[in-house]
Amino acid sequence: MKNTWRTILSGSGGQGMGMAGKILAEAAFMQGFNTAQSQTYGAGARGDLSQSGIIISSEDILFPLIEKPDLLVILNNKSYGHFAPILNSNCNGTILIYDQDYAPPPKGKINSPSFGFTVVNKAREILSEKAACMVALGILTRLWIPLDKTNVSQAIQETFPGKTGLQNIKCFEEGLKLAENYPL
Amino acid sequence: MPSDDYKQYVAMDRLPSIWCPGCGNGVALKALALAFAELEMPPDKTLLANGIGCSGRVGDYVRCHRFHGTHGRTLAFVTGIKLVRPEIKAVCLLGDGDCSAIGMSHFVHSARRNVDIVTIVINNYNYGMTGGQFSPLSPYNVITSTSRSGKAEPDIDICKLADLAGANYVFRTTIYHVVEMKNYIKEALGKKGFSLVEIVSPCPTYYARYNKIGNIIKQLEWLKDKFIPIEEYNQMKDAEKENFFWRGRLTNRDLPDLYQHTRRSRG
Amino acid sequence: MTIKKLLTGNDACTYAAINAGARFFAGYPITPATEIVELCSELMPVYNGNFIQMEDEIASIAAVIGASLGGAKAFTATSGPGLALMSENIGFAAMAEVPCVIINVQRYGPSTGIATKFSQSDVMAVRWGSPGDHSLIVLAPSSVQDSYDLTVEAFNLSERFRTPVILLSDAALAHVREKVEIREPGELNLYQREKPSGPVNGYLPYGTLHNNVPVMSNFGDEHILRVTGLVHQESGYSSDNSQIAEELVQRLARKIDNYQEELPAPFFYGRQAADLIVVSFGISARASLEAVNTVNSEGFKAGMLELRTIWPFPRKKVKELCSGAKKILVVEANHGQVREQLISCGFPPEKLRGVNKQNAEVITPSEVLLALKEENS
Repeated sequence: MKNTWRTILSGSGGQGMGMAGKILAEAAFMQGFNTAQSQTYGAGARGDLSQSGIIISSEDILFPLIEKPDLLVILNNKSYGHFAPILNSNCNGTILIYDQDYAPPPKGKINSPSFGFTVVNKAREILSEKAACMVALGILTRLWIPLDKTNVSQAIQETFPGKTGLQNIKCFEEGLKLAENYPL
Repeated sequence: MPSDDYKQYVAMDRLPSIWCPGCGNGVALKALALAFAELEMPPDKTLLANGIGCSGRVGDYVRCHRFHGTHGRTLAFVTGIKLVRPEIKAVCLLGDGDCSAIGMSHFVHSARRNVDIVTIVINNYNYGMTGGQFSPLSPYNVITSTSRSGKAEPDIDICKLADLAGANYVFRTTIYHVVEMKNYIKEALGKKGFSLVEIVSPCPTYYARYNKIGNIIKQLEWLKDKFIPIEEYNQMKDAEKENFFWRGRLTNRDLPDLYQHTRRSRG
Repeated sequence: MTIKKLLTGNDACTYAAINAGARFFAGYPITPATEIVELCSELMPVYNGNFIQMEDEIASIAAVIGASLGGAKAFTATSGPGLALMSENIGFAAMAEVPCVIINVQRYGPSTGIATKFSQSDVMAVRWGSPGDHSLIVLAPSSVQDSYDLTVEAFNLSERFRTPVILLSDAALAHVREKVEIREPGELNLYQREKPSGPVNGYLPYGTLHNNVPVMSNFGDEHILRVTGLVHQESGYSSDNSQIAEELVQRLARKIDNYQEELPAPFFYGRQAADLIVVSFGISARASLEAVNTVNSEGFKAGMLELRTIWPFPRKKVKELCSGAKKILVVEANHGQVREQLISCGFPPEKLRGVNKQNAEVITPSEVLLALKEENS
């Protein structure tokens, strides 16, 4: 029985990494899980490589940062360089979730089980690239992370009040849909 | 003849002071105590804060609240005091080195914030406590223990600086002009916001000796002759101005002080 | 009331300060402590307190000391370069016995270093940044909850001992978001500084001592206060008498060092009478604990000591808890600043293994695990 989920979201500053991490942590908190969330701080968050790490656990979290993720969401190519040591090794059990248009995995180099989705373009269709992580949250919630979608929606609504919130929830729901018929 | 009321502000039992014969600090202290007495300021709502240096010891001879911080930072400390205890009347008595060198930034920012403080700068044109080195206020070309062949740097007019930075009140006088000094300290104490009273003062042990000004009588005569009323000074031709300094009131306005600003921002 | 919330370390420190009764904040923006400055600018007016952004860190700590002498609980937040600028006035607060709290969010140094990145290398700087013999109190939180609890404690201790108290946080802890139980003022034990009650005439600010701490009035109170950074008599007037100087400086150390049982004691985890003991603090203690739990589940006899009070260094407790160990691993993201303290406690250097990291990254559980396994083999 799995009781700890370590997720890293990695992409470009401006794709909403930090915000999405915070939302996921808030939703986990509402659901009574222990959680710890961290994010890139400084220049990286302003356009370069940007990451957010979220631990969700039914046990006490001793170390609040992530050494090896269970789930790694990659939305830009640059992230592959950073995570190469983890993705190239056979034995760590990391699952890779990537944007199939902007971040296809480099051929022959990835040994992790990997799953591609239309994340960024879907967000652009509905709102803007800034909501890319909301689509990713939908995918994670549907397929891998044991969170109730109503809690995630509520956390999104509390983070973005008003109309922006509704659009972000729409992106989240599109993510749920993308994952619904996905052959795992 | 002033009454003895001023003595309630002076720790008479701690006299004589540590200052050299002829020093202006005692004269300034008495003028300040007289102003306190005339305004009947309650000692428990009166704070005298000092910088480091000769004038910094003034606090050792007063009976009101007394603060003596680190070199140059007095105004920053008192900014904190005034924000939480606005009812206290705060006087910061600083030397020229303390105020215009190490403490210049706090001086400018206190004036800019218009903190409700009366700042008295006793300007004796040098660092007396450490043996007579030049300060930013020492005039160009004067002899000090760190400018034996004449000070190479220009000086700065802190009165103009305080005016530019936003002070509500700026006055310059000298130790020779005793009554004027007391009266304008009193006027400054009646104001809200940042006030500066610059008092040019003799340093018989170093500055006057190095620059051959003569005995204390000569030094006081020098102050009397060199410092002329601002109105007269402004009428002079530029070439003539070089031989004189102005004294008098440069600034008198009623802009809101820091406390009013912080309260207003709360809506 | 107790509220549960997800907060960052920096936010937890700020809410804790407000709930401990802090109503004055003066600061200067510096990474990675900036969020405390920003949050205070929002919260202080709401709580009828004062927020002021000063022209530099020297002025910030000066304003905090001034506000405290006016009777307010006051604090500031900074990081390495700012701490360096504050040092002279921290010494002033120790000398003049002014309660105040400084939250030092450690970043990578020396000098400007890497502003956004982590280190634990201010252990000695917080203790000895200011010249002269004196004691002061430094506490190190290891979680967001701890950031809250120890900030409250920092205010209590500063009021109780009339001394600066420094909270030694770091860039990682400052920004990680975790669950915190926020106990509100009604649920907290809060200590207020003692005020004089005797006759106003003849009051001596440094004349009445309780547990070696003077019972001092505030500026603006009817008991006239005299404060100076010069050596001073009981009256608060300055003195250069050598006997007065010696008595004062020795009391400044004694008033804290002789009452260490009132300071937060180290936590001990894992096996009692362990062969291997890990000594750590701050976020490195979290990595250490995970590693110790892992090896103990594999049959090791390992223990873990988390320092919560860093200064005065809890020599007695550390000696008591670690004396039986065959090997002590000191885990810290610096060159070995805490390890030096263990040497001064009398542990032979060959018994002490430093697990150190100086690359601006956090020490991870697997790095501690590796060291533990090497020591056990």
